[in-house]
Amino acid sequence: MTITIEHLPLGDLIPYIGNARKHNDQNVSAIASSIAEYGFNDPIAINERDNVVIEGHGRLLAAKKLRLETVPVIKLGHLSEAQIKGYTLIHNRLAEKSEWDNDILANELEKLNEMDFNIDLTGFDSDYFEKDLDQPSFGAGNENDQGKLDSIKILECPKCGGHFESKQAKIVD
Amino acid sequence: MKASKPKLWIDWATHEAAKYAVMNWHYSKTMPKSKLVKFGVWENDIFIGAVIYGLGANCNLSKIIGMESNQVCELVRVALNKHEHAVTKIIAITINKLKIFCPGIEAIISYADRDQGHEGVIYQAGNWQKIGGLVTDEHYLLFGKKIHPKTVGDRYGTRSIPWIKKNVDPNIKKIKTKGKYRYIYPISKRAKHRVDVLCDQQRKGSSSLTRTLQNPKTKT
Repeated sequence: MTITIEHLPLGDLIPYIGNARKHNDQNVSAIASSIAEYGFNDPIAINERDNVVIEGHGRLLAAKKLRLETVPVIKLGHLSEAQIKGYTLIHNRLAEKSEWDNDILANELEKLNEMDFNIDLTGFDSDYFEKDLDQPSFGAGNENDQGKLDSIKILECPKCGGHFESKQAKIVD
Repeated sequence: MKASKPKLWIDWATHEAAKYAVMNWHYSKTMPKSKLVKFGVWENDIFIGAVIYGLGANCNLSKIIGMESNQVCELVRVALNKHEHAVTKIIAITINKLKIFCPGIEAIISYADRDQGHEGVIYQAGNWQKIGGLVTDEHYLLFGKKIHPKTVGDRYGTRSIPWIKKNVDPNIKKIKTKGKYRYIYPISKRAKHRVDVLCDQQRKGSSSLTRTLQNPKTKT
């Protein structure tokens, strides 16, 4: 199977009514910035039979925002109706399931920063590691939060009368 | 010019902060249940993790060096996010604080889990002593996750594979681990002496060490 890239007028593409992925203004603006900076390098996949978009709704909205006349597309004709529905979902879902290697990511962002590159064009804020990781800020605790590891509480079993050492955190020394 | 390191601050951690660190930055994703001493670590006032001491899962740990259970504790979690200060330094500071808070503790035990690619480099750099060979124990693979049989027992009241297969996860199975290296950090002179004796026996390949480690109730 060969896939060729074609350029179609924006008006020829039909958004899929069952697209479950939402794109807010901020997201569309970010995609538009990416296209403006790097070019339209990721064609929109459409159904060969009716030009309905299979994946690339965000790029389609960004292209409209940029007032592009044409967009690159690939026409898929080998998928059944069910497969198209499945592919529409998995295309977005798979990206969600992967994780960032924060060490490598920080290194890359730092390099870009040194090269005076606009970090916002990577989709990350410049203070991503302080803010975007959603990390709550914790203050210090106190001694009362801690257990004395060098003291033993001897407990008596209410059934057999045997004695044993308590290791539970909730029992006060 | 080399940039200076961020300001390091180590203090008590709340249970909430320690749990956050463990759930997000430690491979086990499991907070120990025993009595704990929890230290928080901050770099430039940003919380970057926790170092946690506890009584450990094995009540015979202390017997390895002939001590009582309230004289030996375990370094149970080092859960750190991206940090600039060396782990060895962070652990050393927490040990100094632990000594003051729990003056009766004479030695600390910890393990380097080879399944996680840990050989114990941070312990070697901090003058911990490796005691014995690989400590191997059996784990269960429950819902695709490696889990200690003791945790399974605590959670379901039984470690029985047939019962868990029938009632919890039909695909549970026992797995062999790569094992762990056991490290001891002696605090008191008495513990240091006993660890030195163990190390000597280890160097000589003495069978008494093997006996001691296999049967911790044997006096060293």
